[in-house]
Amino acid sequence: MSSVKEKPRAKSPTILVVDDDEDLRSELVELFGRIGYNVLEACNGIEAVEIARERRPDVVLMDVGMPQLGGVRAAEIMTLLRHTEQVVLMSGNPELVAEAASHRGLAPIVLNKPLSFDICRRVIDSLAKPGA
Amino acid sequence: MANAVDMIPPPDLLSLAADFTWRSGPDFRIDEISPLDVGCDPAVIQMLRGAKLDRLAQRTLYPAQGEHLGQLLMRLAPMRDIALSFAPREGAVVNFTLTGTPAADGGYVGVGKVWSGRPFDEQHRGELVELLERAEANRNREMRLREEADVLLASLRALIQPSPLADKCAELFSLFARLLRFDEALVVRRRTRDELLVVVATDPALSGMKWPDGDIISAALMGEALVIADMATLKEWPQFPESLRRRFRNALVAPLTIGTEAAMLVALHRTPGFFEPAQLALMQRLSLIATQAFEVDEQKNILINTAKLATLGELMTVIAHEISQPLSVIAMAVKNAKLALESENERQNSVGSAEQAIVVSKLDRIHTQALRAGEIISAIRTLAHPDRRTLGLRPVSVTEIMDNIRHLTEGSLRNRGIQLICEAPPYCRPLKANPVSLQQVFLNLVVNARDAIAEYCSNRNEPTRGEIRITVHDDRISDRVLVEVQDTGGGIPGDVMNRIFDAFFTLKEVGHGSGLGLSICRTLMTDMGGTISASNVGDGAVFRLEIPAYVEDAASGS
Repeated sequence: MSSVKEKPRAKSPTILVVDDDEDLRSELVELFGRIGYNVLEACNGIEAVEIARERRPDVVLMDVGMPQLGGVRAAEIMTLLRHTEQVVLMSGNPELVAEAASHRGLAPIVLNKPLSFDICRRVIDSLAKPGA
Repeated sequence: MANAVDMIPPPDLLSLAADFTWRSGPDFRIDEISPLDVGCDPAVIQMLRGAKLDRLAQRTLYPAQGEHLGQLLMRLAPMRDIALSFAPREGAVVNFTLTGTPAADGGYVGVGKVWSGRPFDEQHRGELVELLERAEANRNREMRLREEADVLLASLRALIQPSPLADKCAELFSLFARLLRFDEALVVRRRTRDELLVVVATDPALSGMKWPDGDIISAALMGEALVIADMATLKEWPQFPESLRRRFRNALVAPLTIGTEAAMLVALHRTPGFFEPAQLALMQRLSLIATQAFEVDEQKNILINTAKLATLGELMTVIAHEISQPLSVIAMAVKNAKLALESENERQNSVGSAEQAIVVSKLDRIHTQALRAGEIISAIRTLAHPDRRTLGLRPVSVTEIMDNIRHLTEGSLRNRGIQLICEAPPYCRPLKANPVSLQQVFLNLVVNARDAIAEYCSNRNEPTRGEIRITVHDDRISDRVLVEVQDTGGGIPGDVMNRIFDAFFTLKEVGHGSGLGLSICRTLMTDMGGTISASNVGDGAVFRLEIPAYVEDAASGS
């Protein structure tokens, strides 16, 4: 853990965490904050798309089942508008989501819920810090 | 209508006293027949029209020429005053004589005289009586067959009625009673392990009775129908309840199939020797119908179960989703707490107190357990939707799985006085398996063993005591590792051995088992490329699992 803090970095990567579950979102925000990310948050797809347009996050971690605008649709919009480079989705049915996304011409990484932070971190790190 | 000239018989015949003229084709069928006299009985004309001479020959009463009519026909010889007799209705006799000459076309032309109303003559009375008696016997036989057909038809009708099984059985039994004239009838089937119960009976007092093991049941389970002239000669007779022994002595037994399970249909009568072996065929036909009744009921149950399971599957998916969210939160929050503690230590440049180390280890444990719960949830969801089953095979240590099982079941086993013994060789190759699935299989087997032991002991009115032994055999040569789960729960009854892996089959009390446990085990094992089989050893059952051993893949390098 200590290595994260001590590593000199020109610019911290930015992550946008999108989940309608307040508790899970706040924990994720706190965790990514601890390991050295600039963290943005949104509670649904519409908000996520707006924030992504203004702030251009390096990576978006997004739940699939959300009110108003779901994760797969939001991911499609963000990718098409090039508001972000990478979208990682979270779902209880990763196979189904991957299937649905592929119909929209997307090939996002889908993480299985319940989420293991260690796996999540490994994936996000590899996307946001290509040099690391 | 034939041409009148043709109909005129040759002159030598016309000189005879005649009531009708007739003519047959080369096939000896009487094609044309017409009365010459208004007094001629029209019934006779009707009877003879279309009749065949060679058939009529069987009715010959009096061959005037000393030769049988059949032989005359064969030679196409002229016939003279051949006397024939018929009994068209009870009490009435029709006698007549036929006279004829061969015609050019190969048939006959002739005349006949009716002598109706009384026996042809005294001399042939005996033969007539015999004919009448034979007709009477045939009529009785026909009546019996008709009654049998009626009952079978009514049974079939009862069968397709959408009524509950009990009503259906009662109706079938009352129909069968008309044919077999039994006092009472009942169906015996295996309800739970080792117990034969009367599940349906015409007398409510008999239903629920325990049927003793013995010759009857073993014959019936082998698919053999039998008559027991006197049940008192059976070796299991003393084991029957007093009430039954007092009332019945004679039994007719037919095998029955309920689902794929052997059962039997029993008809009882108070008089020894009442049932005859000839009734066995009928009894077997009835058991076939009863089988159908049970079959229909069984199918209905399966449908209900399938519907239940579908609902359960949906429920599972919802629950899985609802629970996985809080589990994620728990895991994340714990991780946060741990990171917070660590950064605090870092700021103060200390390693933290001993208590802090304990707190961190506790947090780690909460984290692992939350993730494990999550995995179980995923596994349940996987089972609820088998098409989404993912394999995720990786090296798994069998001892680790056994430890988990021990932790999971220790409490409930200790409460019941059951000992769990795990034996593994000091070095055992890792298994190539999905740890969650494998754990599920082990858990199912141990829980089944536990329930079997508990039931076995309670049936013998003993305090629950037993042993479940998990043994790992690794020969380190073959590509598989063998694991055996053995219990002391009395074993699996032989006749259901081939059904235990079927979905919805259970030996547990009604309402206690879903009948899915072993079916899930088999599915999971097959998915992992392993096998599962069962057998009986000593006083218990053994489940043998063959699981592929993990072989380091040289190509992957890692």
